Amino acid sequence: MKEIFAYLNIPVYVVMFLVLYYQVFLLISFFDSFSHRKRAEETLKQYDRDSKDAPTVTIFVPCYNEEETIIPTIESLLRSNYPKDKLDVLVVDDGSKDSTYALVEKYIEEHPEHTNLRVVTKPNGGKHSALNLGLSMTDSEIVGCLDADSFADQEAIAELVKLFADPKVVAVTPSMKVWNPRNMLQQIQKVEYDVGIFLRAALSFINGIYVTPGPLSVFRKSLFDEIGGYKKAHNAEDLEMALRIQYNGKKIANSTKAFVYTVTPDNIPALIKQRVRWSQGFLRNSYDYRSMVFNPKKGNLGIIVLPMSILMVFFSIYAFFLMVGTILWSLAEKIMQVYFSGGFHFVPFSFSNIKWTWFAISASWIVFIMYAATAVSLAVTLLGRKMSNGKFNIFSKDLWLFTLAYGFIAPLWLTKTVFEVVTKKQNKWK
Amino acid sequence: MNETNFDWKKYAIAFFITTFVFIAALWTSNQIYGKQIEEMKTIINQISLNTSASEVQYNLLLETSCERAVDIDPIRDLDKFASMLSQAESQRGSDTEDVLELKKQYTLLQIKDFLLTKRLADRCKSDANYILYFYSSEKSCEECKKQGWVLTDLRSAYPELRIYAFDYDMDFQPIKTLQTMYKLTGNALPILVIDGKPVYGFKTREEIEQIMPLLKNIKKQQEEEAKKAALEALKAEQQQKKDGAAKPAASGTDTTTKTSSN
Repeated sequence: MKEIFAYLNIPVYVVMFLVLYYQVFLLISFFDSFSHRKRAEETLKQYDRDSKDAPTVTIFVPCYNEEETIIPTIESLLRSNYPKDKLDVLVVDDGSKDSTYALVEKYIEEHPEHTNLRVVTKPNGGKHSALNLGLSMTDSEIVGCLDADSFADQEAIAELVKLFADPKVVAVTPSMKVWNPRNMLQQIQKVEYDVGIFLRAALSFINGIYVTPGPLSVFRKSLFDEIGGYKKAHNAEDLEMALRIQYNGKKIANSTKAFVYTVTPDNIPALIKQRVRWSQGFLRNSYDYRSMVFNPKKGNLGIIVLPMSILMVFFSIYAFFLMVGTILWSLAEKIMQVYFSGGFHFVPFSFSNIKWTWFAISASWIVFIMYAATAVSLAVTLLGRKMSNGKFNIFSKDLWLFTLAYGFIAPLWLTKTVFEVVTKKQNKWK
Repeated sequence: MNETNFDWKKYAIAFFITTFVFIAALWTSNQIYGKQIEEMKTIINQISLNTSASEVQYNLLLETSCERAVDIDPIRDLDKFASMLSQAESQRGSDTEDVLELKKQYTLLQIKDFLLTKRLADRCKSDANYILYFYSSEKSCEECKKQGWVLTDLRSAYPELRIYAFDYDMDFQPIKTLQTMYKLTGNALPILVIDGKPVYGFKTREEIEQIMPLLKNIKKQQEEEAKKAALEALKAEQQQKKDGAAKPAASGTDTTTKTSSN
């Protein structure tokens, strides 16, 4: 049995090398971009929010049964530090069964000063159909989408729009943070989102972004005339849109200063449901755009980002089951040992028994490679935290919660995802 | 920065850094492994010295008295060494040169100790207090693992028992000699040599206690002692009951006396 586990470790070495390689690659890309970014920021000044030539922006808020968060979401947009006459907010109600639509209508009535706020309703047809309706109702230069469970930072829109100063940029993604993390699960997600901030920044420097997240990604309106509107895309229209943009050889930028806060699931079943939808969307859309995978014509995205992201899904599951298998097997052995050696042999604890021996440390190769991989992952996590909160804190509670627990939670949804993709089960966006 | 075409330099740098990190991790783990081997070498040298001392002590004392020779210290630290050896084997496999050499030294020392113990038992005509245990490191042998646990348990129950574990598949002449000596066939591992006779397959603690004369006698003795102790306890209890029955009577007399005096 032990031999089987040793044999199963071989792919782990190979993939560990690849995972480490990918992380190092992203870190290099990130640091390499510093000089480029400074130069870019200087040219961006022309799109300052106060300038008269700031582009017109319409933000869609597609919603379905979001009565609890819709008003704060709208208000966060209305508070934006962006010329009021250049910013429109269009709420698209996708046939909600609750009072979402009525609430927004009432809000508009009570706040006639917000002339830039509109609401429309339509029969339920999915998020992509709501966004397409929004697209048909505006002629702003820049359009964007803010999920109804998210809140934009005051500076977010201005920061996002700045990046369109680069004429090649057709879409800009924000830096997402967790809204008011209350329980442990949300604190773990907070760290995960912070890591996401780093990853998206690093990916943007190598033009490898493959998702334009629902919470506040913005686009040039002309892009949709060129490549078409939103598709259902296995309920991951934001991922498909990014892949389609990349497929057409266009550029997606990322703003590390445009923050948007999003409400995250506060229990494991809800989290798994959400992540299964995301991961399935990723796998299914990657399959639809499989011609991009390992395609050198698609640059870094084709040659490293997509292959590694797909590999990570399967490797996480493999490593998880290998780990669980090893733990269960050694537990079973311990139980058998206790049974055959006539119970526990209690050795009384004494300080004099403690003697330094090199055997206290495992000299196994895989253990040391794991230490190295953990160190690099920690560096990535800390960089993400620094970008999100502006400080390094290696002792924060949520960081350790994330380090200890994430590896056990993530494989749950990944396994479910792969199982459902293989068995061709479809899921709903809500 | 060229966004669409990839920057090969970046890929190459990442490759070198990753390879460096990988090699550094492997190097550190090898350094620790080297330290472990060094530690084992120091211990085996100590054990070797102890064995020689025991041998000399034994030869000197055996000329004069059997009882005093029995008091010779058994070779210490063999167990500690065995667990280190098994950790080293699990980390790098049993066929690395260092581990193999240490294992051979360990095997030799065990055989030396075994010979001392055997000679002592033969000379003093006492029951054999040793078990030779042959396991396999090459074939997957779940029964061997179980047997190992049972033997550990037995040794903690009977401190006078000596257990010598040998890797049946090890390519080492002294092991082959032991196999020929006891006419062993490696068909059914584990093999235990108890009282000079080979016993094939997994044996429970109770079975070994039944087969081995020394343990059988000790157990008999223990049982008799337990019986005796139980009998004595019973007697003591009966005595207590008697005393208990007498006491209230005595206090009753007391009361009557008091009453009558009142």
